[in-house]
Amino acid sequence: MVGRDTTAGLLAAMLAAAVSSACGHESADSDDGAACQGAKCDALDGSTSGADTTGEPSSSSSDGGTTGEPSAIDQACWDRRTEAFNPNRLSFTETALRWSCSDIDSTPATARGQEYCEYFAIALPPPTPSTPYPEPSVLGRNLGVDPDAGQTPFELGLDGEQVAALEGSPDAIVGACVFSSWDADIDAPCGDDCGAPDVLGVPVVTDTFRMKFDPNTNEAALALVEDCTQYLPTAGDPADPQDPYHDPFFRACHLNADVNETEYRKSDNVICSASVRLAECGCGLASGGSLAEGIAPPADLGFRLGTWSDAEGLPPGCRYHDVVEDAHTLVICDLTAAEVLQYGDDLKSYCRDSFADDVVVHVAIPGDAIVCNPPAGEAYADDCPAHPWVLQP
Amino acid sequence: MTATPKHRLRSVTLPLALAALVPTACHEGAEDGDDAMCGEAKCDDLGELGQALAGFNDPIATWLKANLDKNGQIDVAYLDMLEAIAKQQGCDKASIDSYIISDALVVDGKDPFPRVVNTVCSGDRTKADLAFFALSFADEAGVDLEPREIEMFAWDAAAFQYRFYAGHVVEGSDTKVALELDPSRCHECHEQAPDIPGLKMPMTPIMNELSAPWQHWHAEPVSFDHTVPAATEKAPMFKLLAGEGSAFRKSAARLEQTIRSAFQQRVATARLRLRRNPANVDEAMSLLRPLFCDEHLTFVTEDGGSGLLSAASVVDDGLASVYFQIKGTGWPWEWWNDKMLRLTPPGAPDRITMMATRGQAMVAYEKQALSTRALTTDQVMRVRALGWNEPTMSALRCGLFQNALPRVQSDPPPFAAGAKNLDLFPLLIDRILTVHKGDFGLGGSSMPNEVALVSPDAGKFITLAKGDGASLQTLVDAIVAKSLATATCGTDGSGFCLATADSFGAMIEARFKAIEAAPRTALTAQRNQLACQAKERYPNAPHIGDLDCSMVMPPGDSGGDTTGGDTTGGETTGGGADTTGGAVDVGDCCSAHAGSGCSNDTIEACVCATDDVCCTTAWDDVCVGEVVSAGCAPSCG
Repeated sequence: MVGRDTTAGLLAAMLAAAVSSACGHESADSDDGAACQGAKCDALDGSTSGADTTGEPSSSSSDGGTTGEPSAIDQACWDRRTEAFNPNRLSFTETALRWSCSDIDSTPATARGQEYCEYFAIALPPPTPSTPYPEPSVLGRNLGVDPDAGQTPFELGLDGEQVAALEGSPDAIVGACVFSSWDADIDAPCGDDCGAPDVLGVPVVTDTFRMKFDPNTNEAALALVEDCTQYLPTAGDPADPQDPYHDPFFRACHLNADVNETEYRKSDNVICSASVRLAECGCGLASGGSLAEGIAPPADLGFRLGTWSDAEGLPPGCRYHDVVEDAHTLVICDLTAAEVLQYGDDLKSYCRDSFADDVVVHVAIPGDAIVCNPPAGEAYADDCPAHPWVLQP
Repeated sequence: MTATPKHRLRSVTLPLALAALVPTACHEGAEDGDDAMCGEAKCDDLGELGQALAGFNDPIATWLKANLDKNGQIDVAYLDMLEAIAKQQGCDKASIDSYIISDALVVDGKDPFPRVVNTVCSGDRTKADLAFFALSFADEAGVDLEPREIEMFAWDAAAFQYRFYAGHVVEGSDTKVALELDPSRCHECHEQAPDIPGLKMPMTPIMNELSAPWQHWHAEPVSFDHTVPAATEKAPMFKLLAGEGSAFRKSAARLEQTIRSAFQQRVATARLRLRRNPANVDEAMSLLRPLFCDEHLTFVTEDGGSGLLSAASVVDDGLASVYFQIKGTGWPWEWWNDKMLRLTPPGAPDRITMMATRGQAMVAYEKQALSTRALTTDQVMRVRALGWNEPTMSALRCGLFQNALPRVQSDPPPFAAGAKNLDLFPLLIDRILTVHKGDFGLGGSSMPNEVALVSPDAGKFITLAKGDGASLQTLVDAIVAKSLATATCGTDGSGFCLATADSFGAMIEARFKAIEAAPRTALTAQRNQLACQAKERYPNAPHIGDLDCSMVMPPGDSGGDTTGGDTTGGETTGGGADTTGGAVDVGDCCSAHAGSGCSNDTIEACVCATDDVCCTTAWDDVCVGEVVSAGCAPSCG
């Protein structure tokens, strides 16, 4: 990657080295030569992605034409773009960048929680003669910085008595889906136990309710904004509307693929796209402060959760369960006995299918504090709208 | 909640007429009726109406008992009633939600008119699905909602069923509402479709559009095909309840959650309880019926301009549950993981709307039957793999059930004293999956009177892609000839063969990907066929634009289709579907032949959508040419 202050003539020579430098500052101790932060450089299947280290997309030529079938990166970028511009679930608005907690569909069960939002289930079956004092089960919660660290069990074992008891009171609340956008590297000011009520007998403590994956950190969010505002995406031919790189989402997605190898992720592409446009349009905070910190303030617990239609609302049956007042980073959705009975084999998947599409991460954009001064003559700077971060389909 | 009568008689219902409407209601609580109070009167004073109410234990009945006058009328404004019932349920006025559906179904033959659906305790998953209210009809001026023409139902936790009510304008009064119990018109839509054989099951809530973008509904931030007349928008009642800025007005996304809860924790659970009843063939058959017949439908629509369409449009939604039950997650297929068709290009003008799919109430029931071990995955797979290319409204599966019903009624399977309905399930499934000579036109000199559609290999089940009579005949011939074990399916699963869960899932995937890659015309043709069938058979079928069903070929009318993936009739090659080196399996669609239709359902539907001669007369050279020219397949060779 090339810093925005780097002359275009140096572009080709610096591409390969720049890829490692883009990530290397965050994990200099890595010895694999293409070190990246945490799990950021891991492909979904856990292998190291073969993303092009040349900085060039594998099938979309930098001069605009495409060379045959779309590459996997191209396809991922178009898929994410399609989702981002779904009119009912728009990712780019004047006030916020948005995506849902639902991981993209091909995400393995063990890797779910890729979108600055991790989730798991809790179940507390009713007492039965054989189990008069049931313990709550925490199901599918991530245990460490990456999927390899494992999860708590996914399956809730139910015996015949419990099946009958659940069937007997189908609308009893015996479970919960927990959605957390509490950054893995942010501590609550009130400490480990902020006094939030238990959830079905599970104490609300940091270790249980804060996100775990390395990419789900404030540091990662800051780095993402910084990378996508500092490095130049492949520009393609700005004069050719048919050039796929003419599309800001596409070129930002490729930049994200080059830097982070997370072209499959909704969140990274949305943040990177908005960041790229902010950079192309010469935007910054009027105060002169860090744009990245304006978008992902380290003082917050994490990005706020809401729905598509209401930044401060939640789906029916869900409520905020904040450890810090009004943080809106923890959401609890009730599960009834009928649901626990039907989906006890994998309640986490049920949480995803039932709620995660409508529990939405909102990245507030400090629009009033942003000023833009499009640089004359720079690619894509001549069509900067009033709100450059609101990409248009 | 789109269950809507096609037209309404302006009500002049007299309270005296009410008693006649509850012929069966008294038996459930008559013993309580003697002393129970119904408002200012003893319930007995209200005749059968009061007696019935006295025995009801749902939130609406509870409120009515305290508010009915001796004429069987209430004199409480609609919103006040909602607030009072919310309070009775432990919630406040802020818990009232309004959802708006507006399509041409509501006022037949006129412009769309909104129906406003209300729930109380809407944020509480244990209570939101206990009571539903709707205002669907225009006032005398034809502009605003008439708040005294009310449709409502509520869950009776003692009787394990929803109770249905209607309110009507009382002539000569500006405020009074006459109550009607169990209105017969509700049964039209909330019971199973009229042509579904067997015992009626208790009525269920209906929301036709149970996924984004909730076409016809007010949805946030964007509504699709939702129009409220400008005059109605400004009218006082509509404005108060559901107008822009009304605190009650909510997106259909919330109602979807509540309806799904109703399916899961009310309707499915209650129905499944019956499995523990003493064995009764009629009842046991009705408990198995959702595996075979579509009692209700749900409709899916491409989500805005995204190109995303629920996989349920082409794959039985219930199969996802079966696979989930087998081993939870970890299946490799897009149809299972993604659960979305990704149609290209996104934003195409011919987006797929209102595609009929298997009713979600039935899918939820089947899922619960599996979870409670009332049914096994093998049992469900045996049924749903027959005619699996037709996940919705399969004439084969429902025909099997329909044929078997009188047979098991007249000759029930033997069962031990003390047996329960549950114990009958395996016996009945075997009987249903046994075809008789003459069923579906089956015949042939070598065919015995009965043939069981059963795999000779216990670890496998029969898959039959297409559920038409000819395909079934070739399958039956193979079973009779004991050559089923060597039958092979096409790469896209066409024809018939024995399959494991793995191989069946892979076949579904191949078909799924082929549909994704094909032009939308094929899906559109399929949508049209299903929509027209639904319109004919399901009273609550939604309004679908300008669809002219007289121009749409019914799926069973392709006449001389002799498929099973094979045009060689009695061959037992599982249809021997052609493969073209990994390209779309075009079957015999690329060769002219005497019969109508061709062996690839998708291509056939696509071609016939533009040239119905191909499905009515013969599949001639013109039809062959249209395979490619109409964009139904990329090539013929």
